[in-house]
Amino acid sequence: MTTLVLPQFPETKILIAQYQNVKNARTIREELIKGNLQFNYAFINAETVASETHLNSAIYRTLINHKNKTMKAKTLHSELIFNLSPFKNIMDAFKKFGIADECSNIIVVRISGDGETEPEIGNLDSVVEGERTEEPIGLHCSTALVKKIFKLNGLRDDLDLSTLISGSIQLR
Amino acid sequence: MSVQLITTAQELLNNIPLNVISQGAEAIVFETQTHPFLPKSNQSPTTKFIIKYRPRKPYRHPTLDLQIVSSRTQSEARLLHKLYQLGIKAPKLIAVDGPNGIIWMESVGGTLPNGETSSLKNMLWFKEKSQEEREDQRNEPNIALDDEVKDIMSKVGGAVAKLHLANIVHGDLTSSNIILDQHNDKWEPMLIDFGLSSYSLLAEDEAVDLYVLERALISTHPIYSKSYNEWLLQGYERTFREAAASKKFTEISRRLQDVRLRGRKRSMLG
Repeated sequence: MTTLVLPQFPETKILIAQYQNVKNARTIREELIKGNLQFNYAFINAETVASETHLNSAIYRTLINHKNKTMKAKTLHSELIFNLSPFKNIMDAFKKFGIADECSNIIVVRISGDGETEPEIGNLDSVVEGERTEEPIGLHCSTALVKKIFKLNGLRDDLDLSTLISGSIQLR
Repeated sequence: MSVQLITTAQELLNNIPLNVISQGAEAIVFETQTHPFLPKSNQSPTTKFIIKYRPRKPYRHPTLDLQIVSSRTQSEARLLHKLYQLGIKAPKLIAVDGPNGIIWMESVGGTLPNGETSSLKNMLWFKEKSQEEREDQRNEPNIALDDEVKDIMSKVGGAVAKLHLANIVHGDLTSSNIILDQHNDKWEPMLIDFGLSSYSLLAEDEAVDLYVLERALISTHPIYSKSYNEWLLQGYERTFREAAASKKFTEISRRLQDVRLRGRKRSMLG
């Protein structure tokens, strides 16, 4: 688990946690659809997150869009999942980057704005049935899948995947 | 005015230490050691980043101004990303904030032996000065025209050619918009400032690009510009031939002759 504060947004506390062997992905997804406030996090499929750069770039994009009032999604968490993807359609982003029923490795992000209570990891541990891990982000990533989603297959292979992804996220 | 612009930039980029390194009509360029979204522990403490900030212009209509600032910022950022994808040496894009006119990119280049920034202009000036200060100017080979300079100029030609082969024109090629990066004792040129660049399929635009650089070299390095331009065009031609695009080169070079005669503007209006 890490707490992240971006230099330009000192008021915003971001909590990032990773879980493996998650057993209740389906329940989490159902509760999310119901709008249960206990599940006010971004639940991300770890398979499609290439690296810390990928995740942080999308978080930065989300906060900038929030500040400029140019968000496409309704909440910060859904905007984050949207920004992780190269898609124009929010549903497509949820399908590939959000939690799916068969997900066992997930990344959970909580962005709390000004005045909100700081997120506690204890609450999250009781919501997710799995083991919290401290592995580097991107370990469970399927590079082939990410390359396909971001359409990076025709490019030279000496280019850095994270730089390419981060660039296209910033330009979306 | 300038102080006020810096204050506005600092408000938009609160908590980011900013150092002004250059200011033009369109944008101010800052340097900082803070990455917008990656933690400090991931980088070496000396890594630097460049922030290019296009301020709002008070004399334009606010709605139009917002559109101009954000579209220019977005298109420059898009170009930087495109160049990275194509493997053309240019600063890597880190982050963009279109509506506020902010681009974050990687810092490139280093310092010359005399402590100046390693732009092509400073490099050539440094070489020319060393030659001037030498006592025995007659018998020794000329420092300002040595193999190192020849190698650099022909690589600059190559870099411009690579850009043109991708149908991108730089739009503002000068010797200070070319930064030299040191790699194993060799200087590799890198183009910066794509604020005026665009896509083009016309040989005319590419010829104008070369002509602008040629004129810039003549005015900033008058004594040796002839040799510099010659080497530059050699490198340019070689890269085109290697890419099996000799035909395009012939067309551009014919155009260049025309442009030299009539100047950059084709139409004589305005």
